Amino acid sequence: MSPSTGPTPDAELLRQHVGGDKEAFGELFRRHRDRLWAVALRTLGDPEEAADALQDGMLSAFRRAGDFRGDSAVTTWLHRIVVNACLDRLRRRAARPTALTGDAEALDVLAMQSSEEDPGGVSATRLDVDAALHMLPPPQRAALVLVDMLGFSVADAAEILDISPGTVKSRCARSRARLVPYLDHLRGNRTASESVSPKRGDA
Amino acid sequence: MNGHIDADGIAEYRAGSITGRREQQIAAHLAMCAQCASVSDRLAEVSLLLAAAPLPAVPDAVAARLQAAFDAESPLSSEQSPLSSEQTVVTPARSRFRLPRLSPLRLLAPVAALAVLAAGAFGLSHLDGSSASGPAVAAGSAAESGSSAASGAERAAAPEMSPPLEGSFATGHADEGQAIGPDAQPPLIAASSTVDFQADTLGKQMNALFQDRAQLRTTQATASLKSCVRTVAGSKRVDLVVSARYAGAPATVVFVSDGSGYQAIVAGTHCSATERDILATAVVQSGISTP
Repeated sequence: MSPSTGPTPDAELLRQHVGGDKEAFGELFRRHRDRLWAVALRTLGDPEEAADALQDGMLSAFRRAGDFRGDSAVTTWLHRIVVNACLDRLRRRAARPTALTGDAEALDVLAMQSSEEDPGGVSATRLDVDAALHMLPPPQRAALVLVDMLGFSVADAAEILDISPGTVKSRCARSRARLVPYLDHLRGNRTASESVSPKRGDA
Repeated sequence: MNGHIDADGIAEYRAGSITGRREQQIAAHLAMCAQCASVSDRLAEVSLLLAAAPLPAVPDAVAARLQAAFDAESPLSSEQSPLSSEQTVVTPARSRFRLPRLSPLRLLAPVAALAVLAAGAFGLSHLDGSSASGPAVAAGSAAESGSSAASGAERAAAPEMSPPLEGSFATGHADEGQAIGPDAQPPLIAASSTVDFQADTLGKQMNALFQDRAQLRTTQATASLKSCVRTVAGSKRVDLVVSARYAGAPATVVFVSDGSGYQAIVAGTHCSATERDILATAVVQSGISTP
């Protein structure tokens, strides 16, 4: 690795890794680990599981580096593998009961709890972003995290999730719509009463 | 349209999921309905709030754990320290063929087998198609720059032939070449190269690639690469697969033989189990292994 002419491109690091360079993959990980961690944490909602998924994904990327065909950015490829590792875990977890399943009841319970707490408070009623995300069904959540939180284009998110761009748009749209009633809690600077809005606005 | 639009509808409209007449209806409604316009604004704010949420940094313990996991993995390349030993690599299925010192490839057994096949690919313009058309023949003939006259005995009598094929091939058992046979497929080993092939110099570049084959980085072929190779090669025998570039874009070069000659097929990134995506082909010349 020669730092003389700026950082080595991701794809070159990956090639070096494939070629047996023992440092290259660690360097690649260091570059992207915070974003990858954010995706894993927000998709899974649990640090322990996120750490496991990140490790699963990155080891898979380590071993499958020869797979990388350069038709997408390395970071897209890495996210794809890590997101898949997360979704695998969620599928396995689906067999177990969870407190928040992302269904309507969970949303309602959370809305009730939120409004019971000091409605005029600033931080007391503030919903943690991660908690809010966890109210969404995992596939919708993953799309929203990638597009709205990490700034991936719809096209890149589609590639990462292996779904069509139209499905990415649709999942993001439905996720945003589900979060609208909790907007004030999310921003934590308005009273809960102001947050009442037509979740289903058909008059 | 008289009623309001639900939040899902507005969100889909905002995301560009709704087109045509319905899109126009929603746009018109949002322009005149403060309540729905407010929902639209709130949808936008949801995205803004999510984007503004700080990225959590990966905890040190997690980062350290992953680095330890990487360190525990073997490096992908089987390359060892330069000029290491004269490893005699013998594949179980080809145990009669000693392949001494394929230096500097010095690879695991399947790679050694591949190297022999690759050598054959470049050393011969034609395969004679006989039962002895295994790697031993390829090796022997290649060393003679394509002469196909050498009998098995002659090849056996010339065990110390010098390069082009870097090191000699012990061909004492060449008469049992059918033990490998034309149908025997070595495990597919992919190599990678930084060469950017160009259409007008493809042939020359292929020659250069082979002469520098010792520099090729090898790795086990991935499932997707295997799918691509199967699609591209069809019934032809695959002798070498190299991930490189073509006209600036990533590409896979598949060297195949079909009994009458050798061909390099350049496939693009869409190459898969269902698509060939062939960008270029070139006939591999004979005798090019001579330095």
